[in-house]
Amino acid sequence: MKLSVRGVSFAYDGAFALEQVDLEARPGEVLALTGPNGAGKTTLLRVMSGALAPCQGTAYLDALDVAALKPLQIARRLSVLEQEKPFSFDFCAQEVVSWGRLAHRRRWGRWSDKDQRAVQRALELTQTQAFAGRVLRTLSGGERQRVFLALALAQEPEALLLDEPTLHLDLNHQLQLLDFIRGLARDGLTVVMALHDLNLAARYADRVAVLRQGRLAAYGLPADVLTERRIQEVWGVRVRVLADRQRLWILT
Amino acid sequence: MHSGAARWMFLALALLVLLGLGAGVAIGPVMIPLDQLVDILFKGWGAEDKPAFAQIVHGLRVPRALTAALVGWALAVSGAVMQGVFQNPLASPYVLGIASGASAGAALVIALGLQGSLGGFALAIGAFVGGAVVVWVVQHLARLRSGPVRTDTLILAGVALGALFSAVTTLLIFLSGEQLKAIVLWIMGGLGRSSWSYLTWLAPVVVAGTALLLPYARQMNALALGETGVRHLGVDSKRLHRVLLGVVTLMTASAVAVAGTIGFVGLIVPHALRLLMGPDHRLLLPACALGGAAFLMTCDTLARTAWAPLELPVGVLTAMVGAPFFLLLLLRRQGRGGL
Repeated sequence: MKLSVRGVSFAYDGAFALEQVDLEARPGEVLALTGPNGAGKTTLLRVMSGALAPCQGTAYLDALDVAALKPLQIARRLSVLEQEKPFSFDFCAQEVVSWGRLAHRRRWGRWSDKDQRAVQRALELTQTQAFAGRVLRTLSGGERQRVFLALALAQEPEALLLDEPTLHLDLNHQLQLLDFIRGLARDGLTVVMALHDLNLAARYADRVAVLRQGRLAAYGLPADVLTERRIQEVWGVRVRVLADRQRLWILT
Repeated sequence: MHSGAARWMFLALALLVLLGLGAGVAIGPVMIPLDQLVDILFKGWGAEDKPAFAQIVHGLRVPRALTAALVGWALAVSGAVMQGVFQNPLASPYVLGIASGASAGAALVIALGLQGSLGGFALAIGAFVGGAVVVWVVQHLARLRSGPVRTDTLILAGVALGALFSAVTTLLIFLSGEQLKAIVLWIMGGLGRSSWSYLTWLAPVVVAGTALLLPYARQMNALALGETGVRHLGVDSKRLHRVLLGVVTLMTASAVAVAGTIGFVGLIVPHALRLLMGPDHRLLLPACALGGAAFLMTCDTLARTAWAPLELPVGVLTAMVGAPFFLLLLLRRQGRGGL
């Protein structure tokens, strides 16, 4: 499924958080949204997911206007992993993951084998079966993040929006998680994620979009977008960018 | 919670309900010998040597125990749903002003002498309208500002409206003249008015209401993710709130119409059961139905007999039994955090 925004603007209490943004992410592609704090990454993700309605322009799932869809219609095709998630509740991981099936069930319908399989598969993919019966509160940050990823996958989405998925994870878990997400894209999922870490964006994204003050400052291949000059312009930081044919290293 | 452990909990709760029912029927100011009690219960109104006993059992004690069970059930389930909907441990039919609104509605019905031939049913309608007004106003107040609804705003609005409607009730009492005694007696609460005719509509409302709520249990669980969180799962939280609060208002209003204001049940029972069984509404709601029923039947039996022949208002007992128990559970719980 293609995700796109056309001419999208959004204002919080009169102050523009997004202005005239055009972007698209195709199936099998990882798009990284990056930019300084307050550049509008989270707002853009919220517009794309339908949680916020843009004041101008349109967000699309394929050719459908997101703002005109019901939450249920969106949730059947699109999963969202938000940055801030409550963790103080006493539900076990398996129950949390099963909420991914709410979008696929008729209200009076019973829990079907298909639901059961989807939950099981999501637990297996994210390697969370081992603590499926444990209460979320007792899990580490990395384990919890994987549970929420499993919840997103149990929805069996065609696209995945992630807001800073590596936040609070150690280096090893950051790489594991992004490798995994990369693998999902290889299987045909459309992935859009907000990432602060430019090295991770360079390593894992097919395309990078740089936002600055709500405007799209650059969009394209990582090597074309993440240049020393642009990083200096947008972030105000002097860096060295090293590149070989496969990789990009941004050194501060 | 482990499904085996859950089974034991339900068994224990069912046992408590049966014990409560048994005590409610067996115990009272008039001592009825056990063999005669069994006779009366299983042979109906038959012409025993003591028709007065049959009258007491079938006309008074059985309907009263059943009414206590249904009122406790309705209040406990309503409390559990509200705590889930508002994601706030303080939420209960009383804190949110629904019960005050319902009381004011019912008091208005009495004050205007509208009871007529409908009797208790008119009270229930008045109570429902009063409760629904509170829910409607609270919801709309909270939505006047854009953005996600803050549940603490809802609770504060509920508290304010509850105070307003309590004042309205007091005003009605003040102005009501000859109906004064009827309103005051009704406000004091209690299950003294229980009768089969109340049960004919209380039972269907409470049972059907609970049956309507159960299919939403998993969605209620998911509300722990917050308003945008559940939206991403395809749950329309505004619609969910409307459905759940509508049903809960109806159940609370029916309970209030029969028994007046009985506090604490909707707060203590769900919390106690949540501490024991965890937050899963699929288990919690049925457990609250049983727990609320057992709790209020027991309290009512105590209220009838402790100071016999005087009858204590049952609300006094629910608070006196409930509050220390609740504090004990809180102490055990301290440091674990969470709803």
